Amino acid sequence: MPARLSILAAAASVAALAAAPAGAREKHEGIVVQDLAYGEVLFGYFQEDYFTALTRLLAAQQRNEVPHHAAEAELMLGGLYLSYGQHRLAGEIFERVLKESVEPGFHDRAWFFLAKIWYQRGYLPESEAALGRISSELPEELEPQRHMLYAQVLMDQGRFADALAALQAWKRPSDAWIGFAKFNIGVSLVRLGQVEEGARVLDEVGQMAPENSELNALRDKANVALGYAWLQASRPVEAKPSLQRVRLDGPFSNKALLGVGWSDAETSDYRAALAPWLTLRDRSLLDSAVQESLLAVPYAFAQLGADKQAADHYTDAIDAFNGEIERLTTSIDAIERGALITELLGEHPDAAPETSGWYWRLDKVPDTVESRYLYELLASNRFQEGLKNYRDLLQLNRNLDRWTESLGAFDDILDTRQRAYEQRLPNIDGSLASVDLDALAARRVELASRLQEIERSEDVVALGTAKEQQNWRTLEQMEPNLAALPNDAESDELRAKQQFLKGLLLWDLRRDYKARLWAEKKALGELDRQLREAQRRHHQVQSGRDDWPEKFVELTARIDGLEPRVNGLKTTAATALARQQTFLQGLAIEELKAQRERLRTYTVQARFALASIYDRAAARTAPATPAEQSLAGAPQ
Amino acid sequence: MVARWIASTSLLTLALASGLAAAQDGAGETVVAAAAPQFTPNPNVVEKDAAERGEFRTLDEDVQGLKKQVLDLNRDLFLLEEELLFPASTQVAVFVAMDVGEYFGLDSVELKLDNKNVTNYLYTEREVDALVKGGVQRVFIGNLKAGEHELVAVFTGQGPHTRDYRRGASLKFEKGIGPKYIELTISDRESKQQPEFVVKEWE
Repeated sequence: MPARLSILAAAASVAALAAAPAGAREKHEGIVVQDLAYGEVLFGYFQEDYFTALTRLLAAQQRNEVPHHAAEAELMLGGLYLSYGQHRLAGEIFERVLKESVEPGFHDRAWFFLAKIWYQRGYLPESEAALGRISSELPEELEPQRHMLYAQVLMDQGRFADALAALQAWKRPSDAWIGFAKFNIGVSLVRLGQVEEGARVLDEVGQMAPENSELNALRDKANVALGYAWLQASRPVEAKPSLQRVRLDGPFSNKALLGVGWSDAETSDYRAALAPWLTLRDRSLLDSAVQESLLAVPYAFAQLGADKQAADHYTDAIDAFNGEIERLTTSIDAIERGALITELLGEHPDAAPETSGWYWRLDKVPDTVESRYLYELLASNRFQEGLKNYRDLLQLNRNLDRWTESLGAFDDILDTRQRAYEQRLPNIDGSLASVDLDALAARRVELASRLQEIERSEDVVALGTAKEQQNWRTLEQMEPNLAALPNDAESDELRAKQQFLKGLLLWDLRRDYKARLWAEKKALGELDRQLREAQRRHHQVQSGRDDWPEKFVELTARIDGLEPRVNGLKTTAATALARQQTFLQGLAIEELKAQRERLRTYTVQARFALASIYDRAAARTAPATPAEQSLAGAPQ
Repeated sequence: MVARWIASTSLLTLALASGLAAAQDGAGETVVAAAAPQFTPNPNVVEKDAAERGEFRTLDEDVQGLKKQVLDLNRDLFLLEEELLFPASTQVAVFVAMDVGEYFGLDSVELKLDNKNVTNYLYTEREVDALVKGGVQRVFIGNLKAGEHELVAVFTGQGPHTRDYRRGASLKFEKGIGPKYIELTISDRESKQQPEFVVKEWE
């Protein structure tokens, strides 16, 4: 759904505003995930699992896990709240965030969707205010919706003059929207008392070329509205043409047929009126127009003087009404027992817990007696929005149940960790005590200073191999002995040999000195690294050992603190669920009772008319008074 | 007389109430919905409507407040659960992302840590769509001691012309004292039409 994706994309990334259809598997090119936690949020969000995405985002923000997406995350939060039906919080966030440097297109779209949810939930002033914040034209697919939404918000507040002005100021409604715009203009004019002008506009809509099913429905609706407006103004002749334009197989045909009959009856052409009314007799009695036709038919027969047929039809009508009243009573009882909501959600595939929030809509009504009576109510915004809340509350209840079980497991996990700690403590203490890091550090300092001294004094021998050092010592030890020898040729040769060997060794030692010095320094660096790692690990173990008791207390306190919160919210959620159910059931029951009341009224009218016919028949044997004659057949 | 009768019934009200309409919904799926009340408002209906709206609003405000409280609770429980089950010092998590063209379908991802099977995840279409759109899935979270470890990951899926893919990657990594995150991106950008894992370590 493009509209849906617009806000998804908008919230996901300001840069990703170029929205693709939600169904298309298209990467949002603007989204470059720099923090994994943000990617996780998106994963939930793209699956329309708003609750999980919200939980993850709130946790990520608390742990500062989305530093690279801080600004987007805030917008995302607003978008997710909105998607989850949390319009108040979404509004607060948009109010705060959208003031700042956000791309205007996003700004306007965010307010549009907020206005839409507020309208659907009946927050009309808020919706109007949100629409007022839109500063420029929305994208092509949303702009007409904005105009229509604004008009609807005004009309629902009874501000028909404002709605009229807004609709008339809409300069360029496209072909797909012009009919709807005109329709609401017509309605507004009629509501403002400008009946002739309103009728002219509705008549235009009623004669539009039907290009698709939506326009066909609109056309029919306009014709029915117009026809009844004329009937109400006691102008049956004008009413008939528009009512006759309504399709016979459309959803408005019953009302149109009834109206056509009344327009004929108004001109006393009862024979003509019978044709559409008798057509209605064979249709579903669930429709109020069909119910009324059951009274209208015998009324016409009575007017034509066909008392027997009239009496028969009244009798049939009474039977039909009684049967219907009985079924309504059964349905009311079933709804009071909670059957309706269970049926509505239980049979709906989307009732699965993974989808939630504002976008969900019950679009397939289960085929039950109750839902057939309540078709219009079930399609209304108030019922749908109430049902969404009920559904979300169901999920909250399930969620809280799951956490109740988990909290018990948390206690066990914590106890296990505590026991493991207590068991390991002697070993840990033993290991920590066996390592003298200070002594190791002192030894390292000593080694470093020795190496420094060797470098300063260029003590090439000190860096020689053990063999070289041994040889050096041997050659040095020879020197006093060689010096003590007499000055003869043999001794001179020995001394020269020692000097030569010493020189040779020194030459080797000097040759290798630099490389050995570099290698020693490198080894010292490695020693440093290992020492630091040892210190770090030692510190980690020490911290773990020292911190755990405190951490244990802290975790215990957190679990202990969360338990009453979960339990408290469970009670609140259960109460809210019951209240929501009562509210929805109340709407349904009220609707059914109104239908039953109407049928009871019809039944009384039928009985009265029937009695009048019998009276009239009886009176044929005796002279009747003029007053009695005028009463016969006219429903009260 | 007939008009008087019509006016006495509720049908007229119904007809007009449903007769007024406006279109409002997503582009391309225009629907006709009741938008305005009847021409002549019935004071009782208006009053009842206002009462119902008020009741709905009160309930809605309560539900909004409750949802916020439960969300905050879930946040706190989520954080507690992770701290308890996967302490930062031992935590290791593996994430899956996708950077592939339109025609690669992911079926499953299998993970082995130190030669031990830890995850074999089968994807739904919805999940794959979410990955393709830019989501990142945490496919595994667990605990590991500090030191060197090996991760072996294998993904299976289908490419164009229902060609089956099975690709693997292995990674030797050092687990330090902080949490270790490994991101496996299935990508076909690198080697032209051949999806492969691109592995990235996060600290």
